[in-house]
Amino acid sequence: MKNEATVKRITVQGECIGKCESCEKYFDCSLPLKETFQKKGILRMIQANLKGVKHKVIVLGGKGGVGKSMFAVNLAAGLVAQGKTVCILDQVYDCPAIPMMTGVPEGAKLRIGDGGLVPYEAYPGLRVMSTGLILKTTDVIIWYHDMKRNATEELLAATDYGELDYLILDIPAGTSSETVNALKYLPDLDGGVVVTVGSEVSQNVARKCIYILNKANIPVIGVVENMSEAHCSACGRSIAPIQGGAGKRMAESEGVPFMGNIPVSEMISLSLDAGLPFVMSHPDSEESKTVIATSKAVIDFCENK
Amino acid sequence: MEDREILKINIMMKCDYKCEDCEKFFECKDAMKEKMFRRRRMVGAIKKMSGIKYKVAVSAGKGGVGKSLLSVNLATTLAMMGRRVTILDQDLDGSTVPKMFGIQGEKGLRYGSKGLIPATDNLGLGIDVISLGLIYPDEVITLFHQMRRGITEEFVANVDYGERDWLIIDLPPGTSSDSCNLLQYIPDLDGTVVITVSPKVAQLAARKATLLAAKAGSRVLGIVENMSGYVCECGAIHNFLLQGGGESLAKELNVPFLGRIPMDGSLSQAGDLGVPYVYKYPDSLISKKIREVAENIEKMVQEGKE
Repeated sequence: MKNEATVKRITVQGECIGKCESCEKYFDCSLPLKETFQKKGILRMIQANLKGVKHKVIVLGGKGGVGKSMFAVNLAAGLVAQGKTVCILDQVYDCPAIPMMTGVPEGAKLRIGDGGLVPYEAYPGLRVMSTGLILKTTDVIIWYHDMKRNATEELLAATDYGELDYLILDIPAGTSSETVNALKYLPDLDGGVVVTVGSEVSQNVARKCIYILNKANIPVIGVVENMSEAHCSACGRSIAPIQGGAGKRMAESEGVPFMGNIPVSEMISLSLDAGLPFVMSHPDSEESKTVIATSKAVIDFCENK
Repeated sequence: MEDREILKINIMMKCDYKCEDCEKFFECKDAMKEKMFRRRRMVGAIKKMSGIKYKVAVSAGKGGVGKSLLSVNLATTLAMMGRRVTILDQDLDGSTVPKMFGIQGEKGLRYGSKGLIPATDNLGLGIDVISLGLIYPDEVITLFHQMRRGITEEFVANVDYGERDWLIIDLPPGTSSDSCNLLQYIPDLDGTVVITVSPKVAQLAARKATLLAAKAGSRVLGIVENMSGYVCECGAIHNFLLQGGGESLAKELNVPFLGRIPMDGSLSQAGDLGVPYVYKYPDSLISKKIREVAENIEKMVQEGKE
């Protein structure tokens, strides 16, 4: 056919319109305007608001359903088990699941106090901040980019976190909107943990997470592979619903630490529905061992840098 | 300290007639809506898609429950039934459809005189593929809302679809940006298939996806429960992701339940190898289940047209 050419790229408007907060090129930009943006306004407010928070860690995966929220909840529980006070900040706005996963009773309401929004204390030392505390499970709110950004600003700048050892950010699938917002507003994140599953198809997206952390100058603490091989309780055969190992290979090829496998497990599904992190209910299980080792590695990374 | 309860989130309600940008699009009854919207590229989408008989979206709300897997295998099943199928990958950050067809990095989208020309599968099934992954195989591009809408517009209003029996649309996770953009641009969608996994935490998202489809005026063809049970060689059944959650959600929301798809290692392997599972193992139990779903939804959309 005549008049054909391969589509090589999508054209993006390249000129600066001075709106750093909604710029796609934020991490690539070196204009002086960006520095002004970083020194004034919302970034400053967030920084001031988070001054009682010692360490901030982001859990990301790029792909959906790999276990980001599951991991965030259990990492938090693992940190609590090491004597830390932790707050999970749920940045998933379409369908926030952290409250259910931490057993926050339905109908529990987010409260506002003198210092701002008050996170919900799900377990001693484990707090939760989520839009799931405001919305009903049947509310379908359509969030566009600016609204999500506003919510992120609000949750970061107007929440009374108090004195915290760790703030764990759980972000939704994708490598754009919420991911970029979080990295942009928290340039001093201690690091990110990338959660993936064992299939090759998932690594495309997981790799993008590593690239975006690199772009934002935030260290990669490591990669965790979830839903890995397990053993049949009846015959002991190894079972792998997701043919695995690609998470480890990806970590090796990207030169970042591999932090371990979490086997696929019915116990995990049940613990999430029950709202009790398995690190608390089954601390000696194989699943918990990986997560507890990861939480120790996170502490080591953040506190002994 | 005196605590107060937060009852709702405030959303700006004043209309600025930027319909394509409005969070309240689906609730809006303003007569100007259609007018404003049609003037823009929606009219182009209707024209370009006029040669497609049935348009069905695969949605989930949640990520990683098997939307792309179902989309790819549904498209392949329909193609193996002799239908002409196009698959539109609306997952812009994590497009996996090209990889699942084994054409990632190998084939691209081309410009023709009537718009973008889709890539075709390698198996001779005649499946057309449209995906951002065909333009950007590995780069990370950060896409914000306006750009995402731009790409969706391009994919619905500037593709040379031609005469097709089916358009299967693979929606990304979430019930906002990309899902809504698409539902806005294709108001005459023949239906939405919702896929979910069993745990209650997954139903949080699946419920919202179903409600969103209904809100957007699309018929919910039914719910598929994926990753439902794993059978060990010794015969023991492991319910890693529990069972029955999809069926009970279908009951709760009063929509059809389309069936369960069990877990199987060869499913993810087929995806990695770039050959759709139903093509590689046409006689397996899972392939039969997917064929049942395909036949069921075909019957439903045909009845819907009459």
